[in-house]
Amino acid sequence: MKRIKEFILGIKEKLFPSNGKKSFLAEMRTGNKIQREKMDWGTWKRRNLNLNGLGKLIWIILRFVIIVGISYMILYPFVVKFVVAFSSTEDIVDNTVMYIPRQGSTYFLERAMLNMNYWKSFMNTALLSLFVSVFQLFVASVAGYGFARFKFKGRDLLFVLVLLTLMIPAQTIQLPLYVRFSHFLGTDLNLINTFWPLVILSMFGLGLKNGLYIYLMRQFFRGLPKELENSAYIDGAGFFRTFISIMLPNAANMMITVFLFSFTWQWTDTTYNRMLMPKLEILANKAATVASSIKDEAQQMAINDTACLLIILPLLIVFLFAQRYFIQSIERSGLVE
Amino acid sequence: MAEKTAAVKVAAPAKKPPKRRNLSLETKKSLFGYVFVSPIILGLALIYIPALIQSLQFSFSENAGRFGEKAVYVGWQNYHDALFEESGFLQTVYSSTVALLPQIFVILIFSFFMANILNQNFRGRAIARVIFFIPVVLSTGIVTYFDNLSSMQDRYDGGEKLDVGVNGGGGFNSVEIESMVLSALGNSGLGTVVSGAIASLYTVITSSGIQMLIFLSGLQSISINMYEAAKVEGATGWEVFWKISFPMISPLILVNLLYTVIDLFISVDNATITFISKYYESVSTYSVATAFSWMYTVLLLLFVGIVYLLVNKLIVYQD
Repeated sequence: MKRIKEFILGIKEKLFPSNGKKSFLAEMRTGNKIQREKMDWGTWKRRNLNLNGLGKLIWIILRFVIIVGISYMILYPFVVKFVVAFSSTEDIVDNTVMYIPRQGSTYFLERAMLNMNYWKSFMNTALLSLFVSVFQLFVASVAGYGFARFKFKGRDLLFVLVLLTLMIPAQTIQLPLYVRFSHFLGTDLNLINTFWPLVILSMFGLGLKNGLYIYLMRQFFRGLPKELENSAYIDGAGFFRTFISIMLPNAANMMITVFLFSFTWQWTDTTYNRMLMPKLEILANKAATVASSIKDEAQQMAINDTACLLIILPLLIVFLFAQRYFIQSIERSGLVE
Repeated sequence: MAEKTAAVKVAAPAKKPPKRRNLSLETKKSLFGYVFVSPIILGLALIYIPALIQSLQFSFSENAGRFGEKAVYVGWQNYHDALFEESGFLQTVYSSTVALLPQIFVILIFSFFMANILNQNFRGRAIARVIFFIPVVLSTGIVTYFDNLSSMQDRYDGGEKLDVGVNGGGGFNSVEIESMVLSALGNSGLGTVVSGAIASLYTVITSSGIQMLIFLSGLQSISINMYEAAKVEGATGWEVFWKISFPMISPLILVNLLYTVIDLFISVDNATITFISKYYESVSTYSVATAFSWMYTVLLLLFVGIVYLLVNKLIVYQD
């Protein structure tokens, strides 16, 4: 409050000065008049576009409005879903109820959890996402480092191929992948509807958006100063030792970021799930039919909202824990010369 | 500083005499390069490329994807069927592409703008950064699916108490703003583009996270010396932006442009992808589905290639 008061007083002082000085506006007017003839383009630009004084104030207000507005748009759907999850069946059809459920119940929560077989699906999803993201992270850091710091024949071609895996829609290789995993290595072993297809794909850098993670890690390693490794080499450390004890600790934040992406994207993924494990009990599969047994339209919507909340709530918690490293990973890249 | 600590860390193992090898450092380095990227090489050679080739074979044969049966070569039959027997592929590709084009530019400009804002110093920046990156991790896959369903939020926004213009699809659905823009700018050309951009503001926010991240880390990696030098020379904020920030991160504009194109064109809720996926659902249309996906892949790669070649010329590369 005190701050705001000071702020307003400051503006008032500028507009209507108390000690006989010229007011801010008057100063601007006369100042401009005197200089008008002499002013060339450069001076004009410096005077008018350098965001001093009033311009700066307008910018700060505008920036505040933009940030608050967009934050609101991002957070609002979560708030609504949260409210709906705790509403009762009467609340959701009562037009006078807004934001605070009048009766409140956990009916929708229970129903959504029941329909999704929540805890089992949750455990499966968590395990799958964990396996996949650990492998993706491993491959991305190792390969990213290889691409960033070693020169070898065919490196650029190989990197283009990595980017191609990112560009070619998964649907293009859907059928061959299905054939491969339904008759694994030509035997009768059927891996469809198990964790294996995605785990195997992630081990070889072919999982969901794996190309992007490799790209991010490569960019990060490229940005680290070369002296970091050179001193290690001079001290006699080998390539692996340098990588593990020098490069990886420096990349910790970026690795957490990649892990965060890979974990959450796998959690919500539908592309590969639909192709390779359509019947596995994981949240993304269960979610599609969560409201199918419900007749009433309003209740259907409420169940869908609740199910969506139940799926993303764990991710939100993971994100809140990881965000510090995630934000640092953006800032850490400022370490580049 | 970093170098010093690094040196100290490795000092202990360095006491061992270095092993003698006949290979030069160059050769050794290139060998280890292969070791580091070996998972990728294996994956491409054992899974990805064979799968691509097989998929291409399938698109030219009759009984695609049935294990044990030998694929019968039928020439361009599947492609012919896909284009002339099954209806709507080219129309779907065309309409979904045209609908996405303005979005690409809006996402680029928006993420660039927001990255610049998040790079400035202000109170609550940490919180703003956290909130702005929530959609990156949360608005994918199944959440997009839920976003496209109707939600209780529709009812909330329909209510008298709150007129926020955000609707449950998650989409920005303020009819008033849209019609205002339309009447101000005319119902064609610019007006349609701008009103379309407003209509999809929520989509834009949720799908520009990675781009924001890439821009932001680019801005962060610009050496502070440059800014200081500019300040000493008396450059204004405006000049600093156009003469330093913008050229320095211009390579990232290309990266983000390509990423945006790919992300929008192969996402699960892209109309063409949905169209193709539908054909994969029945065994009898597998072959046609592979033909569809190959046509789309080729079109997409062509598009990406053209964009790359066009924009690459405008980029300032530092090294």
